[in-house]
Amino acid sequence: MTMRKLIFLVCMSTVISLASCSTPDITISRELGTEVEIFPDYKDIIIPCNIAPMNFNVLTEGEHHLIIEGAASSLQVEAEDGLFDIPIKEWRRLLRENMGQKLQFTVARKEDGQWLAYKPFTMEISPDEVDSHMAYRLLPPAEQWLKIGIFQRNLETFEQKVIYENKLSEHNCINCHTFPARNPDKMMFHLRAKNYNGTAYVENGKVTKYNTKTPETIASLVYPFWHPEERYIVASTNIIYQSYYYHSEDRMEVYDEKSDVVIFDTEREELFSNEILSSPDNMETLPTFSPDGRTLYFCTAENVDSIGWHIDKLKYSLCSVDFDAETGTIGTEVDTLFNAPKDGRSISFPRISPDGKHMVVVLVRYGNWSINHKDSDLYTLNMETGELKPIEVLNSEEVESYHSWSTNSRWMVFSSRRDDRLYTRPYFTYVSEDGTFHKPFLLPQRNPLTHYRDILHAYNIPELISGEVNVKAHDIATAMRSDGTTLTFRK
Amino acid sequence: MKRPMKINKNLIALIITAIGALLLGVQLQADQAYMFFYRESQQLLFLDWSYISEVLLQFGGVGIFVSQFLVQFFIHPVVGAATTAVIVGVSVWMLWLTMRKINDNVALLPLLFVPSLFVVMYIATSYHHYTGLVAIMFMAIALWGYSLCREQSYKVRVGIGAAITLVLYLLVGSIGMLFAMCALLFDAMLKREKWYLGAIYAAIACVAGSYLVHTGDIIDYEFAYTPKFYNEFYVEMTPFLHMAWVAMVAVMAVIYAAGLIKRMSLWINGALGAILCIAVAGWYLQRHEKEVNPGFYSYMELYHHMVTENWDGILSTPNVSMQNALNANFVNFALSKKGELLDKLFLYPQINASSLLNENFGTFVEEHSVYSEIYYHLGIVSQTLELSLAAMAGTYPGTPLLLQQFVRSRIVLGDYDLAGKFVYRLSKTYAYKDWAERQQQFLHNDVAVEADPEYGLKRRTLPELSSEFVSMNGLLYDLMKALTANPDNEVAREYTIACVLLQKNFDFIRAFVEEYYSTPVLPTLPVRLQEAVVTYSERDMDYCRRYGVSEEVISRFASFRQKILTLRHRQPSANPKSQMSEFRDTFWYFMLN
Repeated sequence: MTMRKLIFLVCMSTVISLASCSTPDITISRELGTEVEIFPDYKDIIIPCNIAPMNFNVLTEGEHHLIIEGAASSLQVEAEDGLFDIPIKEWRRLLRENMGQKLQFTVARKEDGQWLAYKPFTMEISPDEVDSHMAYRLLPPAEQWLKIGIFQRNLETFEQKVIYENKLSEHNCINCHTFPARNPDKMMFHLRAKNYNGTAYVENGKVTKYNTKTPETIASLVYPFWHPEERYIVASTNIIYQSYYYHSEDRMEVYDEKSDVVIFDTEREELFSNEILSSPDNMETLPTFSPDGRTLYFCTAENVDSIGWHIDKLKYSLCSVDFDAETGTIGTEVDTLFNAPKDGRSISFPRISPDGKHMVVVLVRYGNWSINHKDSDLYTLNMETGELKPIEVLNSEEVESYHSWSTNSRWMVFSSRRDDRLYTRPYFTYVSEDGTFHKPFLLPQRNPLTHYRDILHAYNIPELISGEVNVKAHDIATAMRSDGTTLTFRK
Repeated sequence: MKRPMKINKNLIALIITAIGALLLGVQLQADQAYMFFYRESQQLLFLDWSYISEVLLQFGGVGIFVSQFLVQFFIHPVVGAATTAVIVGVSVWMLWLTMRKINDNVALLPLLFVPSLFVVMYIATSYHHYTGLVAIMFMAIALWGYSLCREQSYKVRVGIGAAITLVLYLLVGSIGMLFAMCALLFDAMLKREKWYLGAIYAAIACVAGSYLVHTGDIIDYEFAYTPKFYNEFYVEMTPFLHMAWVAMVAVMAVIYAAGLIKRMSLWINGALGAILCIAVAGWYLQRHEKEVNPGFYSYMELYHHMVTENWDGILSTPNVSMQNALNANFVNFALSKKGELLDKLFLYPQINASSLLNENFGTFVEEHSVYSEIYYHLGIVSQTLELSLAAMAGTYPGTPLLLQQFVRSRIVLGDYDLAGKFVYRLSKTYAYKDWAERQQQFLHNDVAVEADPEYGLKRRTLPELSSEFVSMNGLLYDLMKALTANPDNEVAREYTIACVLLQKNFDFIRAFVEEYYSTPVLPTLPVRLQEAVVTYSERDMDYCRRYGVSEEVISRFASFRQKILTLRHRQPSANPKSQMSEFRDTFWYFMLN
């Protein structure tokens, strides 16, 4: 056989196999009149115009086909083992050509050679983009840390990359991470480890280690939040315990015995606080800056004696003080937005949309470790009147907790355990201009059913970021192994 | 004229290798059988592509997968020892096929056992991965493969060597570095054309390792280039743990050097071979014994009996000291499982309540695994959950027992979706899929759970919903919590009574009896508790009878008392315990100092 013949044969077989891979279009013979069972529930939702293909699985047996129809274009996809794996190029074309409109999804089942259609459902393509990336911890539930890491997911594709994994530092615990106003060029998180203990401060790929425990503070920085102007990071310092209930729907509890709020001045490499943020009679935690950086919100609870025996007495209020970033001064007037002793519930994770219009908080019966509270729900809090409203469309019978806003304030990602009670997963919701939240959808995966069934890690602290974090995990480990810079405390 | 004797050296080498491997297998089965069971019980290999691909795609992933695949069969008796012996045998045989090209003196073959025997000693500990042994085998096979390209030009040879180094390094781990050194040495010993180009192999491994360290795929350079890769991350590498690799190079050097010596007669050669056999075997046996930690080996044996529910096995395990709280906890757990806790409690030298369940346990996975099982047995499921999750923190993705505990606890609590997730995971394993399939019937089926003798009892033992934490007030409080929630929980009742008795505090025992006697918690007094009652109220028989002390116990106590008085009268300073063996099962005997 000559080389020319061989090349011809290879080309022909390639063309034939490519042709056989494309999905032949089908025609619907009749309507079934019933709803199709799919995972995840992507029915009648609003999606961002830059989201990865919304692949889903049909939960019934049989041969299935999907017809996606928009006003401008359409697409058909054949199910493989119940999975509709939508080609990414075709998907992007659909989103582009039908932006601002609804796509109709019709799943058809083959019976006796005929295609029978389930009731169609829709996805509305919002022209408002979601931030391109999301950073999160993946950790086995219930505070195990043999194998955990901080990862980033490109929300426009299925690509997940490692930011840092604890296998590089004695399989230690990695604490919460924070970015200044969704800027991926700066990042901070704390490592708890024998030889790597400290806080990692990342700026444009350069890593600096800080020792944030000072003689004046009770612990290292734990729950951080970055000031929008990037010089300051506010964080709580906590003495934390974990206990299991004899019998409670929440199974276990994580709680503070002590906590204070401090501010880290990254330019002067020092911490400072005041009596409001570090009161000996109260526990202050989970601080947040307002988008304009002028107000500092924090949760605070009265100290509880023998807290392990009276955990249900631990109720957090939401307060705020002024903050002047020019001079680095904390105000002395406290404003109480939510009064826990009066309300009887406990508040955590105040997060304000970047446009400053909406604050979303988490409410539980007591404590602040809402991720373990079955009753944990998301509420909007009117910052002027203090009025709380449950966000019914987002809340389920299981946990809804940690949330993060998109840069344009039109999207919010939050944590939910609605699928199996223990493995937290990120759900996205569209937020209209008027503050209306819409039916949430689960983070898309190439094969959602197998991915969420097989994964032994929970998604924790999902933070939307405007681009990819560029830092080498090895550089973080190397920096964290050094002695680092010990912060001082400004009195 | 005498014709020189023709010897088939390969056949002799094969026979020596086979006999050596067989003897090793016999020794391992005799001395290390429970270590192999334990290795199996500490790993989970999910036989589905997503998990396997995750394993394969890591640095050294093929070596890890092959070792995990083999270890899953160690659940069967003898398989662990036999597999290990075969791996050592294959390694030795491959090394022989390689080294005979340098020196085909079969008398030196016993030396080829040395590198593998070092690794066999390492795996007697829990911190060395079985992958270390598999890696030696892969290295020996690779070296043999490399030795076959003897006739090719140096360019082809170096190309093949470089490819083998890279593939071995990426797929099996840092052993690729050892291969690189051995291949260079091999070329040098055979004076192959431009043998020094073999240094490229080590350079390739160095570059690959450095790249993977920088990408964060390998922890650090020690993991990248040394045997540390085959050990747990927390291990401090001692010179001994490097000796397998050092021995590999040293043995090559010795074999080469021996080839430079004038040929010896057949008899001298035979004698040398015999001496080397004895020396290697003697060194191995002596050193192996030193490396085995008898305390940990006992733990492995007890653990195996626990997971196989061989309660008599626990009670007959040699070298179990009741002075060791964990061992005592195993023994009492086994007694309870046999329904004999109170009957035979004092036949064993109990110390105090910690003999029953040591609350001051450390943070080790081993302790958490055992205590979570005991708490489950008691019906204190929340503590099982806490301990099994804590143990899982050190054993990602967990061990079979921990996942089973997790499933059972979640079924009792009614967390069916979660239980289902782990039932599904276990259904993807070789040894636990049948167990997992049996659990399917309970998922989302409260009726089946409540009707099941085990799950039903545990669910009825759950206290009322509250915000009270477990294990904040001590073991006895936890036991009483379980018992008051479900007075039908006989196990909790026996442990409670045993715990009360082991306090050695008569006021406490009296308070307990007076508060709970004739209540659902203590409807009748078991004999051991009767013995305690008659002891603290020996002058008030009405009291004894009011609290259900039998005439038999009263009469036996009288005999005990009489004998004690007689013995003390005869020898006031002597401890009468040794002469009171007929009362060994009693509370009175326990109270004797």
